[in-house]
Amino acid sequence: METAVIPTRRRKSISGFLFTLWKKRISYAMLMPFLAVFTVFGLYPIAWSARLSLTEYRGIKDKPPQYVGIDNFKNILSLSFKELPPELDEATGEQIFRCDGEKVIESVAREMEATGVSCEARMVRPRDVLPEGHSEYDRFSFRGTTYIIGATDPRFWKALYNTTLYTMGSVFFSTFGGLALALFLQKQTRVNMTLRVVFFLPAVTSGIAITAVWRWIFTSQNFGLVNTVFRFFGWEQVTFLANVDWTMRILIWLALWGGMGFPMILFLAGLKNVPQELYEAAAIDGASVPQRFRHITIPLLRPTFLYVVVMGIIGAFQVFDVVYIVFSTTETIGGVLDSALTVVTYLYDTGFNMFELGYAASVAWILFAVIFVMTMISLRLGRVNELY
Amino acid sequence: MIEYQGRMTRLVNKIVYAPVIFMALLMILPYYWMVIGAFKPVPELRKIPPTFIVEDPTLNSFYDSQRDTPPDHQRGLFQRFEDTPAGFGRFYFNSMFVAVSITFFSLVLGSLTAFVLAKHQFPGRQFFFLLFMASMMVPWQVTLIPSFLLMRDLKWIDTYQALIIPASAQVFAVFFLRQYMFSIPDEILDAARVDGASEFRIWRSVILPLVRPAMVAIGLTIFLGQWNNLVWPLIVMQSAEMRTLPLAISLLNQSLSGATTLGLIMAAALLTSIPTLLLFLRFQKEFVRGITMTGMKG
Repeated sequence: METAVIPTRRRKSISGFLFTLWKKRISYAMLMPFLAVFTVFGLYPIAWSARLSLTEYRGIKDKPPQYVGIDNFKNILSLSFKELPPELDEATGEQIFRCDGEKVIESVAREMEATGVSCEARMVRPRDVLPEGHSEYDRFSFRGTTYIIGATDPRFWKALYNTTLYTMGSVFFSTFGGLALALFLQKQTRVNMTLRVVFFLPAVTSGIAITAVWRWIFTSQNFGLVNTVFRFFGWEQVTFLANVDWTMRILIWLALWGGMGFPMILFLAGLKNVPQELYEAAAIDGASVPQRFRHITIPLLRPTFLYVVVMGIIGAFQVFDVVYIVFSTTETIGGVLDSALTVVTYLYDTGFNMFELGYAASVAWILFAVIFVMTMISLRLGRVNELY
Repeated sequence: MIEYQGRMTRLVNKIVYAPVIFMALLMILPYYWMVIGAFKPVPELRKIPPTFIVEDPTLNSFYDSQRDTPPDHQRGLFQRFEDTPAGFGRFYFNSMFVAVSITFFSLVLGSLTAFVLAKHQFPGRQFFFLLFMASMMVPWQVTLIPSFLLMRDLKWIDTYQALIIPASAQVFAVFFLRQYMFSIPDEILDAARVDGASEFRIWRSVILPLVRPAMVAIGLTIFLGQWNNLVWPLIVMQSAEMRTLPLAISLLNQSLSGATTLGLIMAAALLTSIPTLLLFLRFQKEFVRGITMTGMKG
């Protein structure tokens, strides 16, 4: 019955192939302008960047890049984890305390504490326990023992930590904020349409200019708007831009302000695409409103949700402008104590302030790897949820 | 009964709306603060607490004819940047010229490439498409350092082409225009071919008018992205007269402090955001369509 149609293969020959190319010359000619620009300014720098990341190069013309293998990556990434023992007195074997600027042994310190002097236990210096070239990144106590984390490049880890925190915070709030807005403003009444425009406005126009305005709203000088409001309520004045505790809150607030409109629009489009018949059918079957939401709206919005989260992660990991405009000063790029230092600002700092160009290229590849892994993880998590 | 219920629902509605409206006010807060800040005279800028309605609006923050009579006057925005002829006006021109050029070139190159990839059959078609797509995965930071070195080697530092040419090949424009072009039936193109139109002519007179909505949406995205581009100009523009607006703003931001200079920064921010606000008001629908179509923001 079935007759397989075997396609007659054209004879392969070089001249035939060249003839095809010649016949298609117009297509290639039309592709050429884009391809040329793309190759020179898009592809070539990628290859160059890969090569550069394996070298030490300070951007000096007379001193060409020195090949160093994967040293840059090692220096960026290497971490050490050590227990930090207490400093002991050699004669008595007791721990040394520092009381009121004075070094004393434990038994003396206890007596002094009883008289109301505050004492602090002294630890061995970090560089005595950490491997060569490492310096302290962070320390913490667990069950009475102090541990120390060392790194060859603690600033990179600080940047990565900040960026991760920022990404989680901003993606979480702007995704759910956008979803809440979309659900709330779903009905096309006049008030809702106006509100939609208002929430959408920063998503389009939140450029450098308006971001700069925020810096002056948060300024700690007494003409700052937020501090004026705080004064009005009788709250304490805060030096927002110079206070480590507030840095991340401000960054995430700015991400929420500028980033909610985008998911809102996507969720509104997603909600519009949910067939109304499904709700009607479920209502006839006696499903309550929360049930309908849980079993119709949520599953049908899942692709949009996944998309918003993935795009959010990719965007948030590359944050630069907000940090540079709001927190950078002429002295420090990452704000006070590097509390706003992100991976891309760190990359910029190493590349264009310290001229460690090879090192900066390596940072960029690590950023790529991190974004790639995070994207894969969220896509995978999204698929796991789809199972039921 | 019905009356009562109606009133209850309305009350509940109002209560539920309150936090949303509060949020909405926070959304437009910086715009408001910017506008009033830009029009306050120096004595009013100095007031603590700051005024919330401009009592005595003035254009002094932009241009002050009595600049030499402190303390109530200072140099306006257009009187600053004395190292540059035309000062802030020059930066405005730089930004506009660069953003418009990039939008134009990337739409021309992008639509041409999308047309070939969507409607022509030739060896390598799939390869080129996949190559473009794969490059989208690589974040721009990866190419930042080598691109700078490339500009240096080409002696393009402090030139317009350093900003315009590398940005003229926008892969995402190709991708979305190509998607859009699949919806154009081949018969139209074949009809044009029978009539003797060249492929270039078909692109110009058949394809471009049909993909106009997609072109507008993508063009807006590109323009806004370039208008707000900070990192790349920061790296390749080193002389004063080649500054773009984001550079000028970050410079003002870092060098000025104090209540009276607030007016200058707000004036600069206002002038910089006016084009984006106008585009937003004029092309609101296109922005929404652009986002739902491409899933990209500016």
